Amino acid sequence: MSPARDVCLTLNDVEEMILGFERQYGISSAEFFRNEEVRRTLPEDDVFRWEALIDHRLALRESYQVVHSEYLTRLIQSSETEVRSEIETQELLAA
Amino acid sequence: MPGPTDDYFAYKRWFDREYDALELPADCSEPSPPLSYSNQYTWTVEWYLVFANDPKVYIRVFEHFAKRAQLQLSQRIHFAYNYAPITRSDPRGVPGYLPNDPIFVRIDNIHRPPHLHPEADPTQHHLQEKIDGLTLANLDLFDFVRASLRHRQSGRPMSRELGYRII
Repeated sequence: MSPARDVCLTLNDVEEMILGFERQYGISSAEFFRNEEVRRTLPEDDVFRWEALIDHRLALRESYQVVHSEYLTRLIQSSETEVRSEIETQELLAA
Repeated sequence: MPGPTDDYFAYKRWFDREYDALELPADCSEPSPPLSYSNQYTWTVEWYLVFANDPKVYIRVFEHFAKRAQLQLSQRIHFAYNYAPITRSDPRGVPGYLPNDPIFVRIDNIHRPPHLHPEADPTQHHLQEKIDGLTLANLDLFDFVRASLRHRQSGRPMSRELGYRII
């Protein structure tokens, strides 16, 4: 069996590593992507890592958005259920 | 082909199975976890095999997978496979690499389409048109690792172990 060592990245990890590259090379990630000339001057390993991290950030942001919107949907549904049950209680009391 | 790209779980199963079939020598160490993922469709491999006895060499496999718009499956976006003598290491024992460092071979697709850096001049980039007998874009990381292990034992050129010829 392989050592099975894998790491689940979090958005904080990824943001921190991206910030590290931005500080090291003095350019933003947007500039890194836009400017092919600048990219060609960077070590290939760092280009590989930086691009991978940006993909991971995108993936994590999308996942967080899905979770957040699911949470909001459930919150709205549960508050609607609460309001309905309050109305039902009042109707029962009034009957 | 470079392993299954359906998703991380399929890839991880394949990686474990292929890893189990490898026969790694006793002086081989792996300084860091090889796989990291952020979701089912986005993962990165940074796998080092470091050999402590002479000849002191390392094999390094970088590859990154992600899903692009309109695709159902992930795909390999970037890869870089290095097999080289150890010339420098960080405090964790992870070998470093600079473009002028000696190598036995490096195959990657960073900055340009898949290309090969030969042992004779690591700064050269041979695109597929100059390589006969090996499709660089389809190279599988375990084929690369097995060829490197054979080279370490036999000393035969990597071109022979990987089955390519520069034309």
